[in-house]
Amino acid sequence: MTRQALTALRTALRSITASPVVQLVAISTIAVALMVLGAVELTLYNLDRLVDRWAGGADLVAFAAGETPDDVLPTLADRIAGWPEVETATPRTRAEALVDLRRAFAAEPTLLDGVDPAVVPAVIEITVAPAHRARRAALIARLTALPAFAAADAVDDGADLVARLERLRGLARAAGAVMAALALLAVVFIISNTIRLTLYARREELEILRLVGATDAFIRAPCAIEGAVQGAAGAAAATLALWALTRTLPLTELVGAAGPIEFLPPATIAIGVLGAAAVGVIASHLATGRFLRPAP
Amino acid sequence: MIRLFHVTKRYTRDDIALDDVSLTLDRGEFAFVTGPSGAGKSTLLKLLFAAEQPTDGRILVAGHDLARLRQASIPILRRNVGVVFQDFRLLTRRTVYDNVALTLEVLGRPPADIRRRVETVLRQVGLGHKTDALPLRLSGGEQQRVAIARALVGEPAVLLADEPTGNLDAALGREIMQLFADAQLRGTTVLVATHDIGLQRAFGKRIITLERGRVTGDTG
Repeated sequence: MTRQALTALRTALRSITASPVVQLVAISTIAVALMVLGAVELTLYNLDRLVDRWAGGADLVAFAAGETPDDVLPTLADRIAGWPEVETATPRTRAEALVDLRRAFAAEPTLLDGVDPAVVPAVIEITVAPAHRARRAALIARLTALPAFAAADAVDDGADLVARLERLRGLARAAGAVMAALALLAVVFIISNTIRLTLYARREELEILRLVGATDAFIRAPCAIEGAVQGAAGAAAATLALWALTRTLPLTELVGAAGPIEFLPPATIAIGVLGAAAVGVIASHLATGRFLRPAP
Repeated sequence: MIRLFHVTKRYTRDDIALDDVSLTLDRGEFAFVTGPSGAGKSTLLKLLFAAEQPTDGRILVAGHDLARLRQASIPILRRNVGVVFQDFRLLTRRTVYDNVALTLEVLGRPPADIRRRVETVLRQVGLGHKTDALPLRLSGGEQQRVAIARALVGEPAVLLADEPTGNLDAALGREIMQLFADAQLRGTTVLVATHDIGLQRAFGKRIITLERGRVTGDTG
């Protein structure tokens, strides 16, 4: 078995080195197709991180009811800070909240002119204790049980934004799945056609191999190795090109607060390269099928 | 070793290559198949190494019933049947050694065994000094010797040859035929299709005559 594997490896290497230009063109084309797939995966990966960061984020903002006097806020904040699910609770009076608003709308300084601080609610900014971040709903329920935060929507946990991001992620996944399927089809097409070319160039050898009793597996094995090499090399080239692009293009500046853009983790890259190799094996299997039947 | 029972091969309704052929070759027997072009000699050989399926009848080769042979089992049959063609069918970009070693690589033999066996067979066919040569650098007779070495290196029970001397002059033809006779002496069953009457007479072996797909003569 090992000897036959070595023979297959030798035959595959001979086949690859016999037509370097064809191999290079095939690998480059595969790399382009897989770059599309990689870009989709990179987008999804960073979108996941963004959603997770915001959905599992630490901050809640509790808006105090209009009649709540500012001087009650520190006591209220201290009480909330004493809860085990809360790490910090910082009070912001109406005036301070207005300053925060002005800072948020710094680009439009006249927007808040004439706004009475009394209409801006006082708030308590809460950082959820890390151990309780998965149970934010319980904390929100506890907060809204307090008279100061009893009004509807008194606690902003960013749920709307997260929901929008979740919807965006769903759409991106669906679009990604379609693009991935197309990219994989392209890879199968490229590899199977390259291997058909190789087989066509080797057709006399295949005929002789069958004449001397080579099994289908013996003939298929070098092609499978060639397909795997093309797939893996294409995926590796696509990863390198994508990495170079993420380092060159100002992506982090482009996405602003949603950043920074992180490259795919090594495990994902390894799965991608191995997956492309497996696709190469499948494509070679499809290509060899028509050369192996019927018997000469 | 080879048995045909009422074998018929039709390519189309009107194109009958073999018509109710029955014959037997015992282990270690040597026979020529002769007849005019289109008599069915090549078809007979193709049936024997399962390159074609009979339309009717039954064929036994080296213990394999070809009617019951599954596609996946054809390689096992072919490891027991060496085949030599008129046009040599060598890999022109591989050396003489590589061409012969191919048969043993397919069998998964260890490299040391392959080297020993290939060198032995190449010496037997008189090409021990040309292991590294490329086939196109060799004469027609030498190329046919390489093809015979490739067919014999796996020690097949049966050796089939389809017009093996068709591209060679008479003297070279006799040399090649002597290699088949030597293989017979080592116990191989040999069936050679040829219409070279001179060779048939020179070797004094059994002669099976085919005409229009029928056996019209058998000296065996």
